[in-house]
This record gives sequence, structure tokens and C-alpha cells, in this order.
Amino acid sequence: MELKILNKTDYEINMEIHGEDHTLLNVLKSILLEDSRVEIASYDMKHVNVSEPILYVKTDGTDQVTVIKEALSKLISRCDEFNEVFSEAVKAC
Amino acid sequence: MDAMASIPKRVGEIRFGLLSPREVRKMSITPIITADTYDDDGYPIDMGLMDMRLGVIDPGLICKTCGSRAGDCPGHFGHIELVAPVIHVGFNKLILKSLRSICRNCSNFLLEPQRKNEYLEQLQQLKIMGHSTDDLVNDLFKEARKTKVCPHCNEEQVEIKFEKPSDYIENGEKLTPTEIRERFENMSDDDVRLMGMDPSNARPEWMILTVLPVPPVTVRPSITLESGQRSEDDLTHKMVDIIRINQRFQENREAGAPQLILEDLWELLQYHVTTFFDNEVSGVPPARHRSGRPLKTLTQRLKGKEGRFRGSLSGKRVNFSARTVISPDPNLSINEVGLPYAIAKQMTLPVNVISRNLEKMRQYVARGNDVHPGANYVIRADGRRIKVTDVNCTDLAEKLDIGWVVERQLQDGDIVIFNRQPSLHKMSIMAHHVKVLPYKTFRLNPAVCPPYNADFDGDEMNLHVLQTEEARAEAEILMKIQENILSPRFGGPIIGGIHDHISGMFLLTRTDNDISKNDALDLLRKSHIRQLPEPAGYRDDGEPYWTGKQIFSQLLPDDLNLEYVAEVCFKCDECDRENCENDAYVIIENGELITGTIDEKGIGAFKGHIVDKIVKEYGSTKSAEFIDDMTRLAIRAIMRSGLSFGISDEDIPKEAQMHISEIISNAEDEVKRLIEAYEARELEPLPGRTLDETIEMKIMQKLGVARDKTGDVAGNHLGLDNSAVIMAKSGARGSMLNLTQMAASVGQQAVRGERIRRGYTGRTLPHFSKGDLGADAHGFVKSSYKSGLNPTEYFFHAVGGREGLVDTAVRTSQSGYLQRRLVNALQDLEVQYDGSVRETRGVIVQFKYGEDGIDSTKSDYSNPETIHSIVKSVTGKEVEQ
Ligand SMILES: [Mg+2]
Ligand SMILES: [Zn+2]
Ligand SMILES: [Zn+2]
Ligand SMILES: [Zn+2]
Repeated sequence: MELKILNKTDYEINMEIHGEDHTLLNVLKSILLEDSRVEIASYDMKHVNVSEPILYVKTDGTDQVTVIKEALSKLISRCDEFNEVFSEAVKAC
Repeated sequence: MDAMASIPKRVGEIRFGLLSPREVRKMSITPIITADTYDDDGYPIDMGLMDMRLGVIDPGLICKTCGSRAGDCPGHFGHIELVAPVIHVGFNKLILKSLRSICRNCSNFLLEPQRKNEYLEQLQQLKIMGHSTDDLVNDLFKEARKTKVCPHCNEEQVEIKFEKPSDYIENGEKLTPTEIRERFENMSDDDVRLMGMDPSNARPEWMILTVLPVPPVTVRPSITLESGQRSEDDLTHKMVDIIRINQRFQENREAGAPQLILEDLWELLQYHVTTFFDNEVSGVPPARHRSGRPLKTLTQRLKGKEGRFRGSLSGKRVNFSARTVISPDPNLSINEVGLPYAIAKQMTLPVNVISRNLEKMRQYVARGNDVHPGANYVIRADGRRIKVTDVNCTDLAEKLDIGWVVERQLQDGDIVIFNRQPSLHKMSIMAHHVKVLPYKTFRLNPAVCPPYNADFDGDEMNLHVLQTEEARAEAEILMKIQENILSPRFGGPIIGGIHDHISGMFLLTRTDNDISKNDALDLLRKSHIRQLPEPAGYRDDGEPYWTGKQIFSQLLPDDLNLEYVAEVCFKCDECDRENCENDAYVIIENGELITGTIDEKGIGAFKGHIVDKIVKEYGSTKSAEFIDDMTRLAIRAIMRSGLSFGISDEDIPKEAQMHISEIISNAEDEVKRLIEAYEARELEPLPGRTLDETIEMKIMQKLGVARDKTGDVAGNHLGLDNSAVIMAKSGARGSMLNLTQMAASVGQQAVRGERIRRGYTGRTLPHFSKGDLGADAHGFVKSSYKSGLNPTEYFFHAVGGREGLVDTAVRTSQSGYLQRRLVNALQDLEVQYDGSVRETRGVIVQFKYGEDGIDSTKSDYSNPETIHSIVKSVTGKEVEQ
């Protein structure tokens, strides 16, 4: 994975994430949108065959870096939770 | 000769005429007397068809006539003395006309002497004024042919008949070429002038050949096959035949052979000379090779699509071009074209190496020719071209210096020209920016299909790479897609939404009124918009929602104002405007869609008012961006709800079906009543029509109304929840008629606008009684496509359908020929800076372009009164018409 920050203001960020696709970005975007401090979270790949995804986040003024970091830890904890529940369910059956 | 060749020459004049025997001998370098070409040592035989004096084709040899090498030697004619005269096929028509207009005894033109003088005077006048004399000459031929008795020697004239391929029959006897030639020889110069010929240039007897020119070997070069065997040109083969027969004729005649044999040989000589000129004369079996392939002789070389004129002289073949199948890619901008890597790696662009790009060009060369984007050739400062390979690329990159040229491979952003045949208008060839993509097809945005008239059922297109900065600049400014959105044909956009773009926009702006934040952002994801307006409201759970109209408005320029009636309008007698129940009155205020549904009238190619307004007021770059964003939004929108169509979408309820059959049987009853009235002679004929025409028209009208009624019934049961209706009403694809035919009734099949009448005597098919005028006996199909057609209906449907196929086939071929002629006639016209249209000599064709000086692309749908809309936009008030 390689990450390129295209532009950044006080509450906005645009970044290109090489080597990733909908698998990560769709879920990340959804989690970001759950946060009421996030005004816009959207990502796109300019061309399906040749482009890398670009994530755009705009907050209500809160530092966008913290918001994204929080979203990522939320994502990790949710994965952990799923992992736990899943392992238990498998054990049980 | 070398010095001569370098002097440019100018053609002073061209004179057309006939070659006289004297002239043929004069320009001939040698008589050709033997049919053999080479001797046993493979050396050309003197006075044979390959005589070395006829020119050289083998490299290294020197021409015995002019002393120049192959390539410089133009070749030199020889000649064959024909033992007996033969007719030149190309002049059959003129020979016949001439024979008919001169006296069979004294060869005088069959007119009174004083009439002749009058006509000669007139001809002279026409020539002085530079007018064509063709019409007058034709009148003369006609008048002379009517003369039955020669006014000069009182000989009675006999009608001369022409028989294919070249026989002239008088009194049931064939005139020999010798006899014809004699008659022509006896004509006076003035009489020749009366036939429209200039006797110093073209005497009629020269149409009968006594000497045949032998074309130089440069015209008929022999090819050496791999086996070392020589293969001669078709023309050479034909000349061999002529010489052989000529010799045999002479031998037989000298030996005193019977007349019958001589006549046969004469015929044979005529045959060979005829096929030498034209191997496709009707009535003459074409001369063939041993393999059975017909020979390609003089006429065949010139004629037709692959002939010298259309194939070699007008036809141009180019380098730096590519051709492959096209496929759609909505991810591309309308200004882009997807280019396969395989093609990008083979097509190059010359770049002059200067200090500022030296390092960059080194990188291209260093990558070699196999890693994209690399370079395929470098041209050193001394002009030497070197191919870049895996082996020499690092070396060349190092040596690369200022003043060299690198032919680098195409890469993203390069401008190229893209074309689809038939290139009927300027939008058939437009410029695109390259986007290099995997796979093997050219990719293009489906929104640019209309100007190219392309679809993706296997269409192929051509691509050309521009080689100079000037050409690229011109393409960028004049030929790019975005500069051609407006068609000069009707002054509206030819590029816009099509098919699903329209259905999608229709669904989004009409029915989609509860869009969550996540979905709203998702809809706009492919556009450049990264913001949302204030939500339209909040759901019960407190979540905000947006309407489809709001989402669409995000794409519009902020100060756009527009009002128009949408395609879905019911065409009510009185329009409720913004209160339209059907949401068909579109109002856009300050870039906000207030009311109305966006459909074909808004964003469609050809009709889109919003696209039109944006191009005309915000310029081409903005328009391209709008079309890109709008089409992508539409596709996201149509994917949200999904739009599919199946056989069950044509289902209509039982009672509706009953209603439909009732309407049809009522109509059939009415037709029956009409027929009874007709047979009882009680029918009043319509003004200006016969009784038969009247009954036909009345029946057609009744059945037409019936079909429309069934359509209405079906339409009432198929609402806007039906995807076919959505597509038809929004203008995306198909029509309500298509739907009527599928669900209700197919209706009357017609040939040339009339009910089907052809077939057996008195009836169309044996299934009907003679003279039956009923609906089903003349092609009325009451079934629907869904319910299926019965056998007679199916047959009539095929009859009607065939007409459509024939029409399109005939139309395309006719319009193609029309186009060729029009282009040939107009290609040199040019609009000058003073606004006049002139041809190459500077002669004015129009004082003002188009007689009004208006650029139709800049007018409002070619309406010159653009001023009204300008006044309105400034004052905000409608102009009184
Ligand atoms: Mg096609
Ligand atoms: Zn020569
Ligand atoms: Zn006479
Ligand atoms: Zn209306």
C-alpha cells in the first residue's frame, strides 16, 4: 500500500491510496459517514481498469486526521468484534 | 535527361482527340511483329512484345531508346499493323450515329447545303462563346437521320441497325469495318465538323483501327516469380493474342484461303482487339486466363472503386493510423478515447529534443520499445533513423542529444483523430485525447455515438496520430469533441444523453425523492461534485434526505436560468406551467431545478435544451464537464432503482384484452359495411378520387383508428411504473407505438402506403376468396407481437417488412452517390475573411455565406432571432413577438 495526499486544508483532505479498492474504501467511507462530525466522505476510482481510489473527507471543522484515525480504530474494533463472535459461533456448532 | 527531369513543367493545355494511324506510327519506336517475348536465353526478342526499346523495368538496365534507367524511363510505344481494320469498341455509339447521318453512296452529311452552312455558323458561334456544342450536334444527328433521300446524289437511305457487340447491319447485310471506314474517309472536313469533331484532331475513320498502339512495358511490367519464372501482365497476354491472329489472318489471306475462313479470322481479330480495350463489353464473352480468371484489360484498370481514378488517384492511404472494433466506456470523458496498449506501443509521435526535454526523452529511449511509454525510433542530427531495440536502448539514451528527434510512443493525453465511416459530416472525424487502456478495442464514451452514428454491434473505427505541432494545435482548437457539441445542421447539440442517460435522469428527477446522505454522495461519486445542498427535509428518525431534483441541480451552473416544456408533456390544451400535474414544465432558477422532469428535451442528444444552453452560454469546456458528470450521475441513478423489461411487462388484464378484440371486431364490421355499400354502389366517392380509391382510403382510415384505439386501451393499463413506458415517454428509446404493437395489435401492413394487393389474380393469398376486400385479406394484423401472428398475418408482415429493408438499401446507395457528387462539386469552396464564399479562382459563389451570413451553430436551434432570448436574459421580460 502506498498513500499520496493530494491536498489538505484545515478540515478537508484528498488522498490517493494505491493498491486498495472498494473492499477497504467502501467500508471506511461508511464508517466515516456514521460520524456526525463528518460532513462529506466519498471515494472514487476515476477509471475502473487503471486508476487508484481517491478518498475525500470534509468535516464540520474538527481536525480531519483525528476523525479518520478514529474511524480506522472503529473499523479495527468492529473487525475484532466480528472475529470474536465468529470464532465463538464456529466453536459452538 | 537528369537536368530535364528536375525542371518543373506546367501543363499548358489538354486536347482530346483520336489517334490517327499516322500519329500511332510516328510515336511508335518499332513495329511489333512477333508474338514471342523472350528467346531461349531469356533475352527479349527484337520487335517482340518485350523489345528493349519499349522501355526498361529491370533495375540496372539502361533503356535503348532514351538511355535512362528503370524508374526514369517513361517507356516508349510500339505498334502493330493490323491486316484488316477493326472497330474500336469505345466508339460504337458514335460510329452508329455517324453512319446513320451520312449518305451510304456519297458520304455527304444528310442535310441541304444551305442548312449545313447555317449549322456550321451556329457551331462556330457556340465555340467562340465557349459554350458546349453537344446539344446542337445531337439535334443535327437527329435531323440527318430523318432524311430519307440524299439531297446530294438522290440515293435512297436505308436504316442501319446495330447488333451487339459491334456489327452494323444494312439491308440485312453486315457492313465490314473496311466499308464503314471507306464511307467515313470520303467525308468532307465541313461534314466532320457538323458531327462535332475537329477534323484535324479527330476524323471519324480513325474510330476504325488499322494500326494498334502497343503500350510500353512500363505499363505492363512482367513479374518474376519466386521460382524464377516470368509471369506476364494481362495486357501482354492480350497483345500476344492479337499478334497471333493478325499473323494467321495474313498467312491465310496470302495463301488464298476461302472467304468464310477469312471472315472467321476477322471476327476473331475484332474480338481480341475489343477485349484488349474492354473485357466487360456486353455480348462479348470475357477473355480468360488459363486458370479461368477474366483478364484485366485497359478499361478494367480505370473503372470502378478499385480502378485508377477512385482507387489510386483519389484514394489515399496513410501511415500512423490504426483500426479496430469499438466498445463503450462511460468512465472516459467524452473528450477521450481508450487506446489499447498494443496499439499505443506501435504508434509514435516525433519529438524534437531540446535542452528542456533532453532528460525526459532519454527516459523514453531508455525504456526501449517494449515498455510503455517507450520510443520506437530516434533520428540523429544527421538525419539517420535508428530503430530502438532492447539491445541498443541504453546506449542510444546515453548518446541522445539536442537536435535529435525521438519517435516516442503514444501516452495518456496525446491528441489523436478518430473517425467512423461513412464520413458524411464534419463530426464523423473528431479529435480525442488518448487514454491508454488494457484489452484490444478502442473505447469511447457512449454519449459521442450520435455524431459518429456508431453502435457497438461490431463497428470498427479508425484513429490517426498527428505528426506536427501545428496539426495538433488545430485539432485541439477545432476538432476536439467538445468543440463539436453543436451541430451546424440544426444549431442544437448533437452530443448529449442517450438511452439510459435519459431513463436515469427521468427516474432521478421525477420519482426519486428520498435519498439518504450516503446514497446522495454515492450518486455524485463519479462527478466532480463533492458537496451537498441543504437537505430537503428530515425523516421521522431525524435522518436528512435529499430529492433527485436537488442532486441534479448540483451539476448545473449556479446562474443558469431556463424554462421549457419537457418531452413527457401531455400537450394539454392549456398549459398549467409550473402547476403541471404531470411535472412536465421545467423551471431552472439560478442553477436550481424547481419543477419539471429532466428527460430527452433537457439532456438528450439533438433535443437537450439544458445542454444547448450550457454550450452557448458557458462554453465548450464547461459543457464537456457537464455532459461527463450528467451521464455518470444518470447511470448511477438508473442503477439505484434498476430498469429492466421482460415479456411480462407487456401483460394487460383480461378485460383490456376483451376490450381490444371488441374494438377490432367493431372495426372489421364497419369495414364489412363499407364493402357492402361499395358493392351496392351506394358509396359516395371522395372529391377527386375514384370509387376504388375511396373505399381503400376509408378502410385504411377505419383500421388505423382501430389500432390507435387498441393502443390507447393498452396504454391505459401500462403506466409510468412500466419500464417500456418510462423509456418511451422520456424519449430514451422506443415509442408507444412499439408498445402498442407488442401488447395490443400490430395493425395494417402496407406496401408503398397502400394495403397489400399484390399476389394472385384477384386475391393476395389462396386463403381468401377472389375480390375479398376485407381487413384480413389485405394485410391487417390484428394480433399483437406478444400473442403471436397467425400464418397469413405473418406472411403479410414479412411483405411489409421487406419494403423497409429494400428502402434502406436503396437509400444508402443513392445517398452515397449523391454525397460523392456533391463533395466533388463543392470541395474547393471557401469562406473568405470578407464573408463571401469563393472557389479556387476567386470567383464568388455567395456574397454572404449561406446568403444570410449566419453561423447556424451560434443561433438558437438555427432560429436567427436569438436576439429575443438575449433581451429576455437581460431584462427578464419576454419580448413581444
Ligand atoms: Mg453497427
Ligand atoms: Zn526509355
Ligand atoms: Zn449521297
Ligand atoms: Zn403540461
